[in-house]
Amino acid sequence: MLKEFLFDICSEQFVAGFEHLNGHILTKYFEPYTDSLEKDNLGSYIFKAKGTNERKIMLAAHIDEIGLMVTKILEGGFLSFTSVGGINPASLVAQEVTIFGKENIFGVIGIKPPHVTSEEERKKPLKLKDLYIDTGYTKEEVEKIVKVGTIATVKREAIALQGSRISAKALDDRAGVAVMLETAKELKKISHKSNIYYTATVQEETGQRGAYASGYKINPDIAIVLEVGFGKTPDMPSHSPGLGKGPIVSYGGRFNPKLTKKFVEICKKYNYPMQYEVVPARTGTDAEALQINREGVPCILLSIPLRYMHTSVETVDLADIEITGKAIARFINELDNSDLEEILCF
Amino acid sequence: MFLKELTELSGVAGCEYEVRDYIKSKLREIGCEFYVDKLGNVIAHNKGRKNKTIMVAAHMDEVGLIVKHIDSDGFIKFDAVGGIDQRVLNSKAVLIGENKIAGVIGSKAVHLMTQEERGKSLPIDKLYIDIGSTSKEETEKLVSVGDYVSFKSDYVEFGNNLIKAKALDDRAGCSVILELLSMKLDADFYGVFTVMEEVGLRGAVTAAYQLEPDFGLVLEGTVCADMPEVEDHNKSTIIGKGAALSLMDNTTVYDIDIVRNIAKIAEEKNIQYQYRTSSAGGNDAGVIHKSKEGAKVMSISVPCRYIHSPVSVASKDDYNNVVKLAKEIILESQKGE
Repeated sequence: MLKEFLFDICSEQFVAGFEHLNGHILTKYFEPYTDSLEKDNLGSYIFKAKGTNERKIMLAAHIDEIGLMVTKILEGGFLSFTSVGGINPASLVAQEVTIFGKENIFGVIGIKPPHVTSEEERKKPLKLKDLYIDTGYTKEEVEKIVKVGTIATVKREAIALQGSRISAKALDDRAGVAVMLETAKELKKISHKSNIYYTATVQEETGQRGAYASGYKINPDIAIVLEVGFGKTPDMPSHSPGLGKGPIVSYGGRFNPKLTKKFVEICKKYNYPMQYEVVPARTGTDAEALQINREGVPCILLSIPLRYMHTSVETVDLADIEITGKAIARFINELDNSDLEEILCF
Repeated sequence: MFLKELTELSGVAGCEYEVRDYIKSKLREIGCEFYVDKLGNVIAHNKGRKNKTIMVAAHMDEVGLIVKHIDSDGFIKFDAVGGIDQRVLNSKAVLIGENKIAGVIGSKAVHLMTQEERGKSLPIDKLYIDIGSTSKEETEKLVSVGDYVSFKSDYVEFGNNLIKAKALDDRAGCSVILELLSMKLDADFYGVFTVMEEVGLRGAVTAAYQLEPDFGLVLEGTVCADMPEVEDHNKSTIIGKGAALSLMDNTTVYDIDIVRNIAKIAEEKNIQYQYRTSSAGGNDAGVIHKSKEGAKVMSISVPCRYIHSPVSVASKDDYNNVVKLAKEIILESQKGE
């Protein structure tokens, strides 16, 4: 189910600013576990599971992904493009893309062959302006399908790797959305007193915009932000968080220390594995927006370890997502039976 | 056309089993006599009117990777097999070994890169394949040093009669030969599917030695640089402009009388052709023409954009023009006086 959801949703596009086109997939998976869907004015999806008290807990994971946007249609049916969100141009060479024009069309991003590329030129860092999407059509034909402003994404089918690991595009932050789905499933089973808002936010990749509006609309008592974090690879320091070792709990100024402590206590009590990272200031997550929403919202940040972030082969361990989803459900259950004000009181 | 099936098979140079098996089964279906030589070349014989010995060659192998080390965390280090531009390896899906274990070649997150690192390609030595294994032991159960690795890339038709696939160099040529053999022409020729072209034109050496051809016709996928910012004289070939006739490359200077004669045949038969205007690259013709006392050769190619990458692009029209032209050349050569 978890794998099916991720394979399904990662294959669709939700490029920042274009998240309104494929919302039906979210609805299909969240509807069985929630009571209502509302969208705020920026388009974030807010699935509410009603509780029995007045308390409001917001879970937030961004549904948007990085993408490409056409800037010019050239002779020979080639397209120049810019990026929506941060992309390393080197990761785009020799990729297949889907261009979401009047109809979806296939394209490839090639590169000049070595015989017309000097050794010096090959060593120079690539810039987006050096790359083109090859549509295989003439300029006149492609102009009927694609316009300046049309978006595209790398085309990548999700791949099942060994064990519970998978590789796909846009696991940043569909992995976080999948955690919400796991929590929703768990809470449906064990019930909850608080009102839970599973929020798939928009436009995180372009500056955490969506979370401002959805946070304001929900006005939660606390928020749990779900993200992806840098999972250890051979080119990273040995203390980096690894795949399959549970969520990465963040410490730093953006997060409520007492709420974070409570989450850690509960994970320890129920034997959920965890890892830690420190983020003293800017996090580059929806916590930026949520923490300073209205009069302020106590936040915690949990990240799923992910390798090769912002490439089309982002890799995660499904076990981390499952564990995190269950741990959050347990956390909410314990909060339901505690005096939240006492926990949060400085 | 056998291109979908042929390009979706793995056949990295030195490990052409899948392609060879497919070709053998097709030859049986066609009802064409063949044998496999000591190096693994498949040599098929179309019997018919004979004026001279003609060897039509295409190579079965493709560029790829080979496993060279499994590290302490189960990541796989590799080397390139054949000419691979390191820039095409970033963020790719691959298949390892006979059991086609799925893996990915990742890249450091852009967020963790210094300004200088962004946009730069990493040398192969710094790259690794991740199969999702949690340990060296787990990887070793699935993958061994020496396993061949091919790109995962399916056959897609798009644009104006174009196709995207891996290994169009030179499954395009293999597919053309299978079509020629299916035609049962009354003209004698050997259809030769060679091994290890990409690592130094190895298979064609022994095949030519055995056949002693008077004329070797090499069918290839060749470089095409008709993209923005490339000046016209550097494009080598242009997609959709027909079969590409070689004049000179790194391994062969083609007999100009033969080249002009083939151009004439193309014109007479209304077959679209162009000249391959780059002298870079080389192919099996380079060893066929030096075999024994020497042989005449010609290369006719399907232009391929992004050649040697997982997303090579070719035109079905160009491909069909290569089929037509190769057929006419064979018929013409065996017509007799």
